[in-house]
Amino acid sequence: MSSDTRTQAPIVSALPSGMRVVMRPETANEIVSVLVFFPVPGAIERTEEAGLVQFTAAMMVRGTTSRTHAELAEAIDGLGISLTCSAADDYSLASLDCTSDTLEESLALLAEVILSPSFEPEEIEKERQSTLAAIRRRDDDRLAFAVRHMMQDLYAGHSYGLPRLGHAETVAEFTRDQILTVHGELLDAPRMLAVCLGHFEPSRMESRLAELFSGITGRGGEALQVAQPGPPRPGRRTLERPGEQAVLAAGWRACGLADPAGPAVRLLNAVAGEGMNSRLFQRLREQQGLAYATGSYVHLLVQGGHIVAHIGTRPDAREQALEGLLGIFAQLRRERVPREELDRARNYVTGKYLIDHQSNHRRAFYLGHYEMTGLGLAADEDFPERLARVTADDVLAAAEQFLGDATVAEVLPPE
Amino acid sequence: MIRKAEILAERIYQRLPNGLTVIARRVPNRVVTVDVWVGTGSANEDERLNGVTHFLEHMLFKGTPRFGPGELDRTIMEIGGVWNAGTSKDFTHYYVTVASPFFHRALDAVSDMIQHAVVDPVEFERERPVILEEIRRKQDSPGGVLVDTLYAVSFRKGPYKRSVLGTHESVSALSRDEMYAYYKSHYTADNMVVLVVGDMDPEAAVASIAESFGGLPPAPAGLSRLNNGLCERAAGESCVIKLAVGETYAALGFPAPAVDQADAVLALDLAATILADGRSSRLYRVLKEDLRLVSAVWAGSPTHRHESLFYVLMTLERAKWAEARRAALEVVRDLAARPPSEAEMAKARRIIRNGLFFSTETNTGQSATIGYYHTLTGSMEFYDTYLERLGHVTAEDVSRACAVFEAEPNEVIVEPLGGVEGSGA
Repeated sequence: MSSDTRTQAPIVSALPSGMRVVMRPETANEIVSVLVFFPVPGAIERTEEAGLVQFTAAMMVRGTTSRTHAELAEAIDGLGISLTCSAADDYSLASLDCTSDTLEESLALLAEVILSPSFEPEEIEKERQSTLAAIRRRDDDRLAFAVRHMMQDLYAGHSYGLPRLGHAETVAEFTRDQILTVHGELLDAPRMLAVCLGHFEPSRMESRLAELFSGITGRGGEALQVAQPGPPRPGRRTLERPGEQAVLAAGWRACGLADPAGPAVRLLNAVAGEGMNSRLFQRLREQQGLAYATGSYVHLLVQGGHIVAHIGTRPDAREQALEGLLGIFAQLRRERVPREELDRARNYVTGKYLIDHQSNHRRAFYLGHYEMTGLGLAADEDFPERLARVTADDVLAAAEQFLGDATVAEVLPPE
Repeated sequence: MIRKAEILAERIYQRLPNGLTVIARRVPNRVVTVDVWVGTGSANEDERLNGVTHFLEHMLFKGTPRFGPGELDRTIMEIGGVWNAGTSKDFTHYYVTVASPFFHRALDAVSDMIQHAVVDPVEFERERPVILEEIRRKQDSPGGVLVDTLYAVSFRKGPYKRSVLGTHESVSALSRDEMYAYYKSHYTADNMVVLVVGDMDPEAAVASIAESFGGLPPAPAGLSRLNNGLCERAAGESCVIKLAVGETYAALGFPAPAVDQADAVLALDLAATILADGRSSRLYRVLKEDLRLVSAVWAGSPTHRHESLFYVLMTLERAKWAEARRAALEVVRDLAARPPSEAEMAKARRIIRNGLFFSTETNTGQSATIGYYHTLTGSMEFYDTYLERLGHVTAEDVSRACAVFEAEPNEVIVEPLGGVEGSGA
């Protein structure tokens, strides 16, 4: 498949504070996305503080030193913009999507939530209740519940296996001091990155950002780094929950984002479980009628990665479903993927890449993601080329290396 | 300011001699989407056929004389395409997005599956358990159970009472021949809109679509289809369902106007935004922030062809329901009693306008919005004039439209069984 994905190189500069800025002005529409990445990985958390970085991020839009939560909400809604803060495994970020006619005011609001959140005790309690409810809703989803437990075993206590939202027990204990500490770590100017993409004038954007973020400096010292995860805990965990379906999640640890095997792992996953032509979909759903929802996904992170496969089936078919699912991955370890099938998977992943680059927000996100994870800005555009070089032998080697014993969690109705 | 032209950007609109509507719009983004909308959904079913539209949507992926089982999926993956379909109460649509050089191959696959599905008896039986599994999955989903049940209790009779998926019983009883007859009587040229959005030459794309779909016949004269819109509403109905959940999910349902009552629809769209869009919205502020009664709240009315529902959905602790219900009714009825301020109106208009504008960033965002309104109304007018008309809706209009909240609402609660197994860390 041809994939001419080249676009003009972004403008890269640094503000006087040391904060880096990447700008890609485009005029296809009048939308501007500004994403500010912070050098605090969600996965820096210890088990007993799971959810703390995400909680801190959520608190940043709950009022500032000059506006109450209600006043801030009024300002954001009044501009019709999206302004959110969140934690990912390897970094945290604040995201702004606005129209170019409100850019000046929107940027000021973005800077305000980043630089001067108030972390009022009353707001902390409200956010705590909101997060506890979000955790209950998350666990009400049978697949999310299965995956959460499987990930704990797959990462054997490492923070990549913790839910970024945290656990009820940990969220209940967060203190204002802990939140202030995390917020202080976010504001480390030389390790922050602003990515701006859309309809704006670059010199004006740069001077405005310099002005807004003039008050921060570097924290010095070592960058916060996620530790290397230890070995996984393969096995099968059963969780009983009344309901109609049995839901199974199986996981395997894979390589990190920068590992040369990364593209092969992505294609391995695509062959197994991405899209309607994947082996999971075709064999377990289309041929055996075992499931409506089955598939797999891959996450490659700085210090490791994983493939997760899942299926929801009738309880009396769960052994057959699990055997079928694991059999598909076992076969990938034994047999080379036929060339035509590999090419289809390659085209599919490349196509998804193009499709996921339509919005300004997503294009800005990818630039920042690759820069923050150490692969560099060019990695986004190079992605199709890296996929193009993968051979069937590479995929087989990746399967042999990573698809050992699976870690499985199943949610079943009681007998 | 966003110019109106950006929402109404250059496009080609054409009705073919067989009645098929074709809409093409160029966006220079390296990918192209073909989105075929068919004006049939679960509203076109009766009790016995309930679920046939959705089941048929699955069967279209199963093959044609030219593409055997699995070959359509294989073809789309081969060209790096992402495709799927969705069935709702008023429509079914099939969409594929590919890198622009593969537009013609994608169109070939989609047009063939829409027009020439075999609905093979063996594949039909193979797919039935997949549908039953989808029903089981929904029965485990609190959100799915909540909304389906709200529609079920809110109408004694009518097109929107039934679930899109059908029931275990109705799907188990469906025959292949019934489905095939339904297919042939509903997938007619006059009942379809084909949209193509993305990086292509719109004129050439329309010509290709005309060639691909030109042979599709319109509905024969005198063909009768279900879905006359007649409904018998219920009021004050209440239903409690127990599921293995940790949070309580609750819904209040009120009457909502049909799409042909455009002024009332627009006024209620603004009301929904004022009530629950954003953290400064009334329900969010009062129920969540001030009174701390709910953990989340939504309000809205998915516009339907016929009269339907406006609903307020909440998640909360079970013990707070009575108070939350009372407070929610007070908030929505206050909007009927007193028009919103001009500042609130301006904010709501901007939120809706920007939401629409942001959705145009992706091809499927554009095709979904245009396809949806065209399928419901039969023309581009509703979509094209939406923002302009929104500007003319007054605060008094919003307040008048909110008279629907004076009706005794129907309500559904999905509550925990009484202790959720294994819900700890």
